[in-house]
Amino acid sequence: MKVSDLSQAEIRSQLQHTGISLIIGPYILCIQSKFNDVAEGISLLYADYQLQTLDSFADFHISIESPIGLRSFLKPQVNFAFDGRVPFKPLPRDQAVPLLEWGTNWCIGNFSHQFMIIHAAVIEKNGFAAILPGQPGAGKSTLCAGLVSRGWRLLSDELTLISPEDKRVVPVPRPVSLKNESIDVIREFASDAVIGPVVHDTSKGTVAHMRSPAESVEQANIPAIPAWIVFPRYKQNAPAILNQRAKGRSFMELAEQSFNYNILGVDGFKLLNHTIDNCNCYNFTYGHLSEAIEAFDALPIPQC
Amino acid sequence: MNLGNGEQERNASSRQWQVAPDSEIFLTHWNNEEETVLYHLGSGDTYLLNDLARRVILILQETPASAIDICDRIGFCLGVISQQEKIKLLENLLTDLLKVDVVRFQYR
Repeated sequence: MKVSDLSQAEIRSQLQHTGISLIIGPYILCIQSKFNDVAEGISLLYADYQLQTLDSFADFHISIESPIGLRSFLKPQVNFAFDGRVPFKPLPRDQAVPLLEWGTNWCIGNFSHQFMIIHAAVIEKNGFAAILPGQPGAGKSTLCAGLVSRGWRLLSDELTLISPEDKRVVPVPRPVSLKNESIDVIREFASDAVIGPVVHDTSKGTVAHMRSPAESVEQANIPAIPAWIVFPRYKQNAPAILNQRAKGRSFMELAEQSFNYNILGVDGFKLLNHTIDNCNCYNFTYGHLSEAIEAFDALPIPQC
Repeated sequence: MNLGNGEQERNASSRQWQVAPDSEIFLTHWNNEEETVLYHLGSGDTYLLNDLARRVILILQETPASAIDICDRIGFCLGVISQQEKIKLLENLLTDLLKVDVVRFQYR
């Protein structure tokens, strides 16, 4: 059964009582909330996800709830709780859906050491994955959203998971986080993209989430071979230019962007070494999504 | 600490450098060994090495050596500078590697 098989009232009821358990790639996420906008967000952004039966195991138990106290009446706020703990300060009440997304990233990033986790978008075509690390504002989410609306499969917008066992990228497709100008860029570029409510004045500016394409959700159990590591940089009106990047520097940057490289120790070093060995590494500047997609479609498959 | 030239030369010849014996290191290279990353098992730290550091570590993996011995083998990499300056550069590099516990020394 999928989320879309439930009515809004059923989603709301499950969220308020037992919780709703979503299967997201290798994880089962059990979410509880009394907020209607969370129910609406899940209904819209997670429509294609399979539901797990309620009495089964969940990797993460999450709740989006009101903080206790007088302040909640004066200026409504929202808390993210994970297994009963509240790891962050509360946010303004209208940020419940972004908080669910950010909190879920935090859970995976901090408690999922069976994989190497890199802060990077990752997409797939023909079985090969392109990993897109980048500092905030580099344009990776916009590029990722553009690519998945033109035939690339979304593996993740934020967290690249690499399995130490088979060295492949494990998909964990979730809504793509769009920020500020990129919201309108994607609306214009992909008119059929489903984009959730726009939330202003967050710590990241104005944010909205784009629903993961249904095919990406359906194929979330199919891993991909890492083939390209592309460090994107958006520059207004710049032509799409792909330049080879030194592997040593790429290694150091990925280690820096990894949530758990240090925790994995020498196994992390060996896994990252294998990944860099088998990937072509590039710096990529782009100013127009259509040109960027042409450049990605022409990426040469590495000879391993 | 600034050492006088005499003391520097004494150190350069009497200090026998070696890869820290109780901590394994892993090296990986790309692009015809122009790019090298070192993983230090003891600390869990990772370093991007320049060509000189890579050559020095490869020598010390073979056998302990003084800065003068190292200079005799790879001094050509340091360009057209005096032997004394080359040894000073190598001593500085070895001291940096000592600080992160990749190498150690013993007096001969």
